[in-house]
Amino acid sequence: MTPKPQPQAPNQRNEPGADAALSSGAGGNAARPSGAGGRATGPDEAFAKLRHILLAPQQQRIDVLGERLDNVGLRADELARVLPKAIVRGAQQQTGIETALQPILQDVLRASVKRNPQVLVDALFPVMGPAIRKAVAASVRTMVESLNQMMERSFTWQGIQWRIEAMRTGKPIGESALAHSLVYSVRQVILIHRETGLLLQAVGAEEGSKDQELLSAMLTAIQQFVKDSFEVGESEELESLEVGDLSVWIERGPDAILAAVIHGNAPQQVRGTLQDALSSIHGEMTEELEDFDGDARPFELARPSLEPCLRAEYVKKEKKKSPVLYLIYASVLALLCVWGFFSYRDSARWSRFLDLARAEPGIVVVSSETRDGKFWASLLRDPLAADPASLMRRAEVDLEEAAYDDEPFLSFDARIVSARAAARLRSPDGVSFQFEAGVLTASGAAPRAWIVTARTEALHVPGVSGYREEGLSDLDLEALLERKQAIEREAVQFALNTARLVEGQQQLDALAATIREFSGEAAALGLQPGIRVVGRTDSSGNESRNIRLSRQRANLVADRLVSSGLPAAMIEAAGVGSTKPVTDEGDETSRALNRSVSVELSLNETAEKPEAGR
Amino acid sequence: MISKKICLLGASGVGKTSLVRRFVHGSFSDIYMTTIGVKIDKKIVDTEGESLNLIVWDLSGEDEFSQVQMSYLRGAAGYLLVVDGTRPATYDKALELRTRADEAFGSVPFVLLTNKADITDQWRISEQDMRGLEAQGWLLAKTSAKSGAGVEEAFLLLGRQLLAGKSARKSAP
Repeated sequence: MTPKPQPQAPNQRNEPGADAALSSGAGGNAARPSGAGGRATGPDEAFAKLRHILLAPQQQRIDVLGERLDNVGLRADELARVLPKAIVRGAQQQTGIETALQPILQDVLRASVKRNPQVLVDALFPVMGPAIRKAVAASVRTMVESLNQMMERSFTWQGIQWRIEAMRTGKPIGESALAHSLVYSVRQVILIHRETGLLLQAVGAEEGSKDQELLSAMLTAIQQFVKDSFEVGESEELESLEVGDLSVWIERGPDAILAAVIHGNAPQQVRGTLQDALSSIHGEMTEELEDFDGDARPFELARPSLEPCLRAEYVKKEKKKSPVLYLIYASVLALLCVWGFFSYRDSARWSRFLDLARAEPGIVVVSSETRDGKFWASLLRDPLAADPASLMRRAEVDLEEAAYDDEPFLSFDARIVSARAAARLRSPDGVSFQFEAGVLTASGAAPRAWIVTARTEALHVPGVSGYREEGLSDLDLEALLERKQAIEREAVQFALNTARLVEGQQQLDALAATIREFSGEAAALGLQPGIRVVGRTDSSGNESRNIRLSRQRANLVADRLVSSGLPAAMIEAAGVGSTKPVTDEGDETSRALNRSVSVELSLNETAEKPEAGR
Repeated sequence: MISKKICLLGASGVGKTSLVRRFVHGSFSDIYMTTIGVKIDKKIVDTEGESLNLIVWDLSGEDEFSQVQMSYLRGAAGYLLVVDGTRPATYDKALELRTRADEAFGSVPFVLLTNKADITDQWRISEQDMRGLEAQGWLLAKTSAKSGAGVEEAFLLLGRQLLAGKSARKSAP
């Protein structure tokens, strides 16, 4: 073990001399004087002197070094001087000192915070305050811009789409809106030499934009202007310029500046991309940056790092439509409205036609459709039914735009069967038909010949299984009956108490002729007339006498009728005396009227009427 | 191609901007001069077979109301000191600016331009002063922003100095 040297004054240490040499005690084997003030003699002394001469300087240095090593205070002072330089060099030479110091610093910070957090808070506040404010301001600005856009689009079709998307994805509407709001495009990225403001490299130049070399210089000037004008701190720099929709984001490195020209509202991730690119360029081109003398050609190599910064996020922007387009839209809309109106109107008219056709007897609507843009109906139509074209006209259907085909068929609709019967039977005016449950009923008035024919012909009308003619008048019979009444009103008068004609033979002949004519007409209608000749007297005289006289008078007239050609079988003569006077006897005139003969006619049916259901 | 930042310095009204306008076709409006105190233009010159891209920072002039923003000189490879031959005060201002520039950013090549060479008969700066500066190694040029005389040559002179400085650096061990 080296003996501990005794501290000495520097002036003493530098003085050459035996005492000094001896007292230094250099070397464990150094000879020592035998006593105080004693002097060595002989070869030892000479050797000691020689040794002193040869080794004294080294010995002294060893002494000093020993003191520096053994003296903790000295060593601490020296280390304090050397340590900062050692750390700096270690960092520069990448000796891993950062890694070595990291856990120690972490422990130190942890212990410091544990002991008194306020110290660290006070230290960090000046740094953290602005950083937090800046971050919050940037976030709020971005959010406000996005929210503004969202509000603008809240009541638009796009806003509704965002809401639907938010509901579909389960995300909040704000998140969905923000995702769509962040529309931006990094148009240019310019790498600028920090010291000179000269352009090193640029990507994404826009056509018509300013010269990028001038832009680089101008940006540098503006930064310098802001820094000088507003007396900001050394570390404070201009980070962005904003004009309307355009902004320039600036990132700084030790030797270069990266400026990104951005249109729109870019997210903060873009700044991260810029920082990464700048770090990468600094890492790869340190020497080129430091030795830059105006030649930017080496910085072609920086392009791969810059190009990823040209990011863009697009959303579909609604293009402003030209007034002409709006006019076209309006015209198309108007045309659609007109087309819709006419289409609806035509459709309504066609429906009306179909309703009329369905309600019309003798027409059955089988189907309805649209063929080649035209309305089309398939119909079954009785020949006696209405013309479908007339129904179309009633419904105001355009015959050019609609068509139909109709197949003939026999309809048993009551109105059609009635019409068919009228047509088949050629019914005269005044005759009408009712058809119900297969039975055709005729009413009105018709000549007897038609009535007779109809009785058989009606059953041949399709659909008719029975025929009735209640309410159908026989025009011929009615005329015959009127004539009968006229004949029966006539009276052949006789003179008082005689069978002598008052007006002579002519009246009797005229009566006979009239009855013969009537008989012929009755026979033509299939009727057999019967003639009862009734003789009367006035009430004067004896009634039995009157009976005889009235019978004479009746026989006289009956004989005359037979003699005029009427069959005697159809003539019956009877005398009723004064029992059935023609009129009440109030005077001679009325008594003269009762002294007369009149005829009573009857008509017997010879032809049988057809019965219903036969 | 090599690019160099150069500056134009001088007192107000010496004709710096007019000189630049003679030399380049500007992209930016002169309004920048009054707003941020500098207008930047660009000109490519051919000197000794080599093209040099000059980025010209025209700094607003200095007078009793405004000062040249010297920070704009940072990174300049050289500068042109402009004086008005008819105003001796601008000569003194140029000397002062040169001193301040040297103090702020070190010594870089420069050329002293005496403007308004079209009216030399009205000059009030003595030839003796000029020769004194020349003797000190200063590069001098006479220019006329009005006629354009000497303008191109002055810029070329500075350009050659910049390239010479570059060559010297390259050849230095």
